[in-house]
Amino acid sequence: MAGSYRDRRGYVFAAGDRILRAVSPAAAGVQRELLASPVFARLVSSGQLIGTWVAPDEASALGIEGAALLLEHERVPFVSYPYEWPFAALRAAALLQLDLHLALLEHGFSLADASAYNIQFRGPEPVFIDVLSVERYVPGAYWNGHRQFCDQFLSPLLLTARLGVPYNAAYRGRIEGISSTELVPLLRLRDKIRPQTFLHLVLPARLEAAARRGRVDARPPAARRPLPKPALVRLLAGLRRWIERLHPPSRQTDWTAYARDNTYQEAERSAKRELVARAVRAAAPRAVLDLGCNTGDYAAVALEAGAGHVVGAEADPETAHLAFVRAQQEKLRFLPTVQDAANPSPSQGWRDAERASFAERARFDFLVALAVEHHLAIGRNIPLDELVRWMVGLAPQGVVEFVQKTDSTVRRMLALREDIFADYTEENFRQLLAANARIVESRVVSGEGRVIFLYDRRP
Amino acid sequence: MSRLIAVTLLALLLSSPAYAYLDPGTGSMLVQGLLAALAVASAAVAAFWTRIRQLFSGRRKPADPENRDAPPS
Repeated sequence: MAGSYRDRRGYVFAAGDRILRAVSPAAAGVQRELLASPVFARLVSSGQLIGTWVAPDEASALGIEGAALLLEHERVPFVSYPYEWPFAALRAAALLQLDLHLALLEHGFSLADASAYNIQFRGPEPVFIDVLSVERYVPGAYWNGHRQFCDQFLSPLLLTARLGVPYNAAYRGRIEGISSTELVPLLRLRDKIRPQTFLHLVLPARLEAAARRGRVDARPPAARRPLPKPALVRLLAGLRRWIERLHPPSRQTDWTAYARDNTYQEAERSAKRELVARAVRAAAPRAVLDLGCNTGDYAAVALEAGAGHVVGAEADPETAHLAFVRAQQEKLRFLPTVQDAANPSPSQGWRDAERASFAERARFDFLVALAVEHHLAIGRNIPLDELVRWMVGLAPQGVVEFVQKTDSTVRRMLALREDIFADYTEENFRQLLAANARIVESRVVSGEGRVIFLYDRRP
Repeated sequence: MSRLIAVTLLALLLSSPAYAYLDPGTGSMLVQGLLAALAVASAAVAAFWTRIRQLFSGRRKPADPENRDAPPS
């Protein structure tokens, strides 16, 4: 499977609907020990570690050579990447990484790396998926994943928390996170001299620079002064306490405050809610995509109406953060992701195949696209015919909302620019939709004439 | 002493960072080396204090304080 080539002790592959992992003879012993350990059962039942068992198959029957152990994993509902996670999600993933490391250390295990790509989400709950990262703890050993943890969790979080810059675009471009040598020069002096920032980012960046000039050098593992286990535990626990308190620098970090301030047009909302609930109940979808999910009002409606899980796509990182916090607080099986529909996640990494594009991962049964079409058609100049075809392609059934050109939102969008959207009419939208799917129902849901279409493109 | 630390900190903060790729872990390994040295030093200080206390209280404790932090084997 893409991205699993780095660790030579095994690899992951899909066989039909199943996710299997071949483990090399070198790592099989530790893996068997882990599976038999009480900490493994505890971490799986608490949802922190992905369900893992020894596959009933013979490795040779699947054409696998050299594997000493074949493991099978539970599937996650949707694969997402750290550059798509809102702040609260990356923070939750960082805390899971540290909690898992601390729990494993108590039982004589450790983690070989600290890659954010080893974590996936079930709703807003992070789960660690790479059991091959678990290794035996060697007394006195250093934390090899420290640098990776800083690049893939800490620095991106600080970029947002200290400087107010969303990390998602930089993270997507870099793929391996944001290095401390890049972040440190951006930090202000008052941030640099905070003890934790100094210890984890400033000092390593400086020492690395000194090592490059040949002034100092790290010793090979055998020649190192051993790091006592309590010192390692303190290091991890200190990071945990720190990261838990990091927040984006916004006044509105609580979605409830946001919801309270946006309660206008209640009648319109309840009409929309009723329609979405009815459509979702009829379709009984397993996977729903909420395009332009905002803080997740309709995701919550879809879940209440029986949807299996909802993935949200929201262009604004701060709004996605609020949606994520809401999903955590209300325990919704809803994962809001930062995704710009006009520039969705590409396939990238080694041979363009390491991280799958959004389109490759978009396997949804139902689409909710409310109050979003005009942001793309008018805000981003996406031709209406392409937009309708793309949206209908995201899921076989769904609800899409059309916003009239006379709507106050669209009028505001066009206030400072020329209206080049002659074909932007409800009639044209209806025709384009009918060309791509069957229109099951259409209904005016607002005083300004917004229309919701319920479509079905199944034969 | 405190002046020396202040000058060192300032030097660390003000010199320009390196962008060149060296070894992904060098900085992290060196910091953990410092922490390891610090752990050894603090254990020595703790042991020293225990001895002083024992000297004044005139009693000997059975546990060896230097082994408190040893990981279980």
